[in-house]
Amino acid sequence: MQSSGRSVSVRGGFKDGRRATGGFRDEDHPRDAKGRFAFKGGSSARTVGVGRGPQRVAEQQPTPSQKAMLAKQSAKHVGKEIQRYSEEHNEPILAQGLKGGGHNALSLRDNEPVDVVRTQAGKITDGIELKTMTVGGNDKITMKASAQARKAAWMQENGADFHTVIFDDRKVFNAHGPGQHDESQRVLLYRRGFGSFRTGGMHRVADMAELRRLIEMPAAALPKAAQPSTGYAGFK
Amino acid sequence: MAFYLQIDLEEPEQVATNTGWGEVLDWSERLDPGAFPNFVHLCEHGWASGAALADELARAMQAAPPRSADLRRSLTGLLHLFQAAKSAEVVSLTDGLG
Repeated sequence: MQSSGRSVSVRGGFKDGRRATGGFRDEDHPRDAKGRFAFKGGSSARTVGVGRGPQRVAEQQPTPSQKAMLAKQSAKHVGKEIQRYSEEHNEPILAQGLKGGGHNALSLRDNEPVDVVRTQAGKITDGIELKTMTVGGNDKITMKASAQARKAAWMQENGADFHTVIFDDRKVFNAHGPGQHDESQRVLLYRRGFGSFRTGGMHRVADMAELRRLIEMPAAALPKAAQPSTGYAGFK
Repeated sequence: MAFYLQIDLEEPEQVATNTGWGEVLDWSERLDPGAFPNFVHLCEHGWASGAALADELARAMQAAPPRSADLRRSLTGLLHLFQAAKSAEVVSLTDGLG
């Protein structure tokens, strides 16, 4: 498998004109005549300290048929609170933890098949899908064949490896009440590649230093529980 | 943490990265919940009835045009999925963990 050698800028600009987190373009942040940010919310929300507020509508009571359907669905539904938690706590921890040794790491926007990319000298070396577990019972990753195909195509296009990382935060999230998290209880899980598999079979990682080593390791040298599924066509 | 949309019992389809979905949520906070109740409910609680979602999102994109290419791409993909979900009992957002 040949790398495309595709390169990226890691200072805000990104391939095809798309951005990675951390880039700031003034045109994305309209201002009023006095130079103030013009809108509440939007991508400037964190910058100006507005938006990201509490829920504005109460959760509806599902009809009996909706309730039955929700129970049958293959994955738990995820609301705003969990997304915010993962975006504001876990993605920055992961991105920061993957930097070093000449590598940078960035969170991606829009619908890329990876959440975080690791780069070296402007070239993508790895893509990471980060999952955050906050409730009990959700111990299986389910992935449609088309989603797996997109991830495989992304690997080919970028000449990069793919990694699945799970932050098992079931004992972290709201451990001491709403918004009071206990980071010391985090369990980190790793497996090379992607697909549908049970999280219980993944490799338990001691810390970020071990995670970096695993990500850089040839697949054949990985601990058994970290090894990819048969058919995974990686570059390391 | 990629976000997936599940329409009734079909297999989930990816709609955005976690950060990308965060941008959709930021944008949804500019919307009037009274005018777009199902879409706002989906954003805030992770599920909604499928019937009105496509119409609400199309109107919302007119009322508050997305200002970044990333957000526009995410919303357009979502709209295509909603158009196939008009008879769905439940459309839900998942993180692919079940």
